[in-house]
Amino acid sequence: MLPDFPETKRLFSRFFRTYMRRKVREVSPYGAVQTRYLHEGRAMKITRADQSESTSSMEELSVHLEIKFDEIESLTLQKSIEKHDAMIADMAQKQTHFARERMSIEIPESQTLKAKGRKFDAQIVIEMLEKMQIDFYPDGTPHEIFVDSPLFTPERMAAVDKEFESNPELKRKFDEMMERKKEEWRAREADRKLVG
Amino acid sequence: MLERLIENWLDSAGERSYQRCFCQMLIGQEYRIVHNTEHTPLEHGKDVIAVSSDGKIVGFQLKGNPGKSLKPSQFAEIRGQLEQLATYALGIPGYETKVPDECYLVTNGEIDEAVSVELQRLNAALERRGHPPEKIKTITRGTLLSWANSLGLSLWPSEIKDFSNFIKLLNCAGDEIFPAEIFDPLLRHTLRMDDTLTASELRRRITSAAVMTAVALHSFSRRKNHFAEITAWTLFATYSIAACEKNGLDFTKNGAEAVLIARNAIRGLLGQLCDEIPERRILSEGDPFSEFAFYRPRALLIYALMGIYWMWSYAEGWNELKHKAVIEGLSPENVPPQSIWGEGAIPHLLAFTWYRKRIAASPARDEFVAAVLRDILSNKLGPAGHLPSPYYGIEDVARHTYQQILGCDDPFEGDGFERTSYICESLMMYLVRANLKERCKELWPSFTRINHERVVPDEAWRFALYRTGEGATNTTHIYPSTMQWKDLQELFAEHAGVDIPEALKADPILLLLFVTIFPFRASFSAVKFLHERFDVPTATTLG
Repeated sequence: MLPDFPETKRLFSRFFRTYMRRKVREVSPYGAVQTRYLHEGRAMKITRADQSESTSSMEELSVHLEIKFDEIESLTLQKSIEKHDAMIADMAQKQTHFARERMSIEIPESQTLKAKGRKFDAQIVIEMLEKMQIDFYPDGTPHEIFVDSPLFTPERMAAVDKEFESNPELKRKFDEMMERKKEEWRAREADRKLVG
Repeated sequence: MLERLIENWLDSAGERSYQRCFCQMLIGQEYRIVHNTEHTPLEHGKDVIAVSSDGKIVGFQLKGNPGKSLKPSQFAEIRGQLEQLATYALGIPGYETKVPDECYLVTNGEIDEAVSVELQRLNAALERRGHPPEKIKTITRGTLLSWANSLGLSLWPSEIKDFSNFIKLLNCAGDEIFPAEIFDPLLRHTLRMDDTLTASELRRRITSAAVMTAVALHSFSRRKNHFAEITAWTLFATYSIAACEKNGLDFTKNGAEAVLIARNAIRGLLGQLCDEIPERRILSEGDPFSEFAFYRPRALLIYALMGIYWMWSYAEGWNELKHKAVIEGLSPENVPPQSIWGEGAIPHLLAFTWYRKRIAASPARDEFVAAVLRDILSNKLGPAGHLPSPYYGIEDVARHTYQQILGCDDPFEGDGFERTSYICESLMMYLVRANLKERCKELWPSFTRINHERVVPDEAWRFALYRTGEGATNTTHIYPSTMQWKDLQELFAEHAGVDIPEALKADPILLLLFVTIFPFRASFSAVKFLHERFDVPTATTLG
């Protein structure tokens, strides 16, 4: 073999691994989702409070990282990072697609909103939140809601905000709905008890 | 190459460490061990008594002469004992009045020419007194090497990866935690966990795995790293159990003898660990300036191991009564709160608590468990610094906590512990069974906000391995927000341990040791089973 420098290369490799993990989280719409490492077994099952169960299996996601012979000579750290960035974007896309696919399968009909061609507006937001179980912090602030859809563009969201501001009826409906959600949350929390 | 490694091991193995391997090799030759001094102070003259397949009672006296010869002066010291072994009734249960049919002087070195002459004279004297000729024979280095090769090495896995793992174990400094992740594939491949074996093939492979365990421990045995040795022999025992159950073969006929020898070795090692305690003022080891990260976790582990040793000896009889006082003097009333470094510490806490309840039962012990559960729930629901799952050890915690100054990878990278727990269900079960209804009511709201994780093996034998492989389901349980106390009592009363191998359930001490060493095996099912076996009502005090 030709002379190599594996010990130091391992340090670079460690850097790229850490960089990729962090960057994927930054760019993925699901980057804020808590991740867990499964140390053994391949199947997953969840048993909910209502005794309903879902089972799922693992899926391997992989992306391709290519480097051509004639690129090596002029490779710099920056270019190497750029190559990893391309791979990161690919991986984040695959993860997102996978997450959306799984959620579409797992989310029950009762939590699905069919807009039937209506445009995304304040009324849809109210109907959508109505279907969700919303939790609150002790000070009464609702937990953050993470959204993942091409519908939720900053422009669209700004338009929805404007619609609420200009339509007191919609705003009243929204506030009432959130107040109801808070009451439901309080009731749920008050219900957490061992009885008898 | 491997032959040279075995030679190297034999030429430096102490008497006790080669005795374990020697007994395993006797089993591999269809002997049945009826007496073994491994776990007791050496009984001069009859270290091992075994019955051969043709019914002969054979006595073995072992001497450690690594890399040397047994000299006449050493022989003079044991001559009387050998004569006693050859002529006296054994006085051991079941063989009280029997005299051995054959005797062997065993050494891992050579026998000096002058000693051979002495032995001939002793045999001649015995013959004149009516004993058969050549009553005392010898087993020396050459025979032991030949046995180790034929019974052990010939069945070891031959893949390069396995060879490399074996070398890694031999290259260990010997003062570290035993690397179970390296030993696991070696055991799995030797016991052919992916194939189906006949009974005779399995028995041969169990002997082979035992020889491998003894040799793989070489560096650790030399450093007297008792915990590493306990870890390896525990793995050998649980993998032997798993192999029998996986192949549908009767454990009592195919694996029990070998596991019993391993069990004796473990008990002996716990005794040696106990012997070290009075020699130390505190439970510190190695560089004291880094002890801030390890002292409390190590102390809790030692309390747990000594608690298990106490319960083991209480059930089966003390080999050394002085150990009882040492352990009882060592254990604190309660462990300091900072001892709970992660969910992996909980099996240690439970073993310690079950032991303490036996010597000084008090409602305060159950209250302490309630306080620990409250703290864990509060930690899991808090904003940061969540306690890691039992898959992470204290070294991982230290590397995570001090990552910046140590300049190492973060072992927790990619994992999250918020609102999830592998152990809270077990602690809640403990409190429910202790009938601490008010405490349970207080903790219930937080308990129901947590996702409770379990790993359920597809087949029970997989439980006994370091990793189940793909054959397990990661399950998440969310408890209903409202529950009736009696329903919870009913739910937590179950203790069948259906996902634990039968032979492991039949040996609760070994199971408790296994989950103490490998806290990720402290599954809800295992802890329910162990609680049923080891917990005592607060009004009961033993000892």
